[in-house]
Amino acid sequence: MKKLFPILCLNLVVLSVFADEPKAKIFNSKYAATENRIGILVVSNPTFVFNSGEAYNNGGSILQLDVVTVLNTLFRYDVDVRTTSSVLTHNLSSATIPVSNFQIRAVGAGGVNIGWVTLSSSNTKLVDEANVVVDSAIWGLEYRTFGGADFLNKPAGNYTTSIIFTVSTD
Amino acid sequence: MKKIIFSISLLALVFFGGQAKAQLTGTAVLTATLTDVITVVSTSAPIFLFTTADHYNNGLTVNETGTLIVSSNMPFDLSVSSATANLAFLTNEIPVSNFTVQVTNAGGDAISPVALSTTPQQVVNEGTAGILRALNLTYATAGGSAFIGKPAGAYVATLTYTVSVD
Repeated sequence: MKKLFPILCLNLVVLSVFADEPKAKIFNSKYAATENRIGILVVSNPTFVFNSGEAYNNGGSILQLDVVTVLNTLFRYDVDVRTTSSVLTHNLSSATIPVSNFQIRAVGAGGVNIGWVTLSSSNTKLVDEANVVVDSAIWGLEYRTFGGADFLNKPAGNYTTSIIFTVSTD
Repeated sequence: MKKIIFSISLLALVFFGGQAKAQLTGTAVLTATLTDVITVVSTSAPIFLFTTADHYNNGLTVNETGTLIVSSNMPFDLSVSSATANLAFLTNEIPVSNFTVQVTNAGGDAISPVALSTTPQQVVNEGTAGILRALNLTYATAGGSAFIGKPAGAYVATLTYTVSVD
């Protein structure tokens, strides 16, 4: 009995560490992972239209409020962003525009302020240590580009790439 | 001993269970829609002042620096034409063919000075794309008999510049 005593004490210490967190959060976290209850949903696609000299010279910005829904993180969470390609590709030719001409930031996500992030095909942190989401949290995104030489000498048309948002808890 | 091992396992489950890595993704499509932007604006007009015999004999040159503003997201061509075959003052006329024009900073292929005409004359071929490019124009005339025997006055013709992309 004496040998067991330190172990039981240790158990009590562990439980007391989590005592300020609702038990449901602790023990449901494994279900959250295995049942995919944690999630992120983006419901809007940004389109920049270059139809003036001003747009080509100075770019523009697109603010999309309430387009991201984060579900059941149960812990503080991060969101990384990346594109599936390092370039936007023309729909009718092989012409491309580097995605590095575009920036993005989270609007109203909370957490550590990161600010503008230049898009790339590598994961880049967009949201850092945002508050726990028990049910769902909704926030927005803002995109911008400064225009410039990378948009000139390109045939007219639509240039696209996909943006991947990844939510994770530590 | 079994109880001790069980307790340690339980500890590990509780401790690491809370750190289970979980992540999912959402997607959006980023689109840039490019449309051709092609504009040209003239901000000045050349004025030739014939005030000396040398002007009448040998002509003169007028440089219009940065007065033709072209925007084109693609390499562009530029042509010029006159609305009339002559500069006119009342009933007096001077053929526009006595004047030439050259664009000196558009990039693209070099084009020599061209004589003005009612037929469009190309002054830029595959000029460098850009927005609000300020082009330099050099107008010139060699003077000569076309200017002799004409009453003093302001002889005027209207020029039209047209920008296009291939």
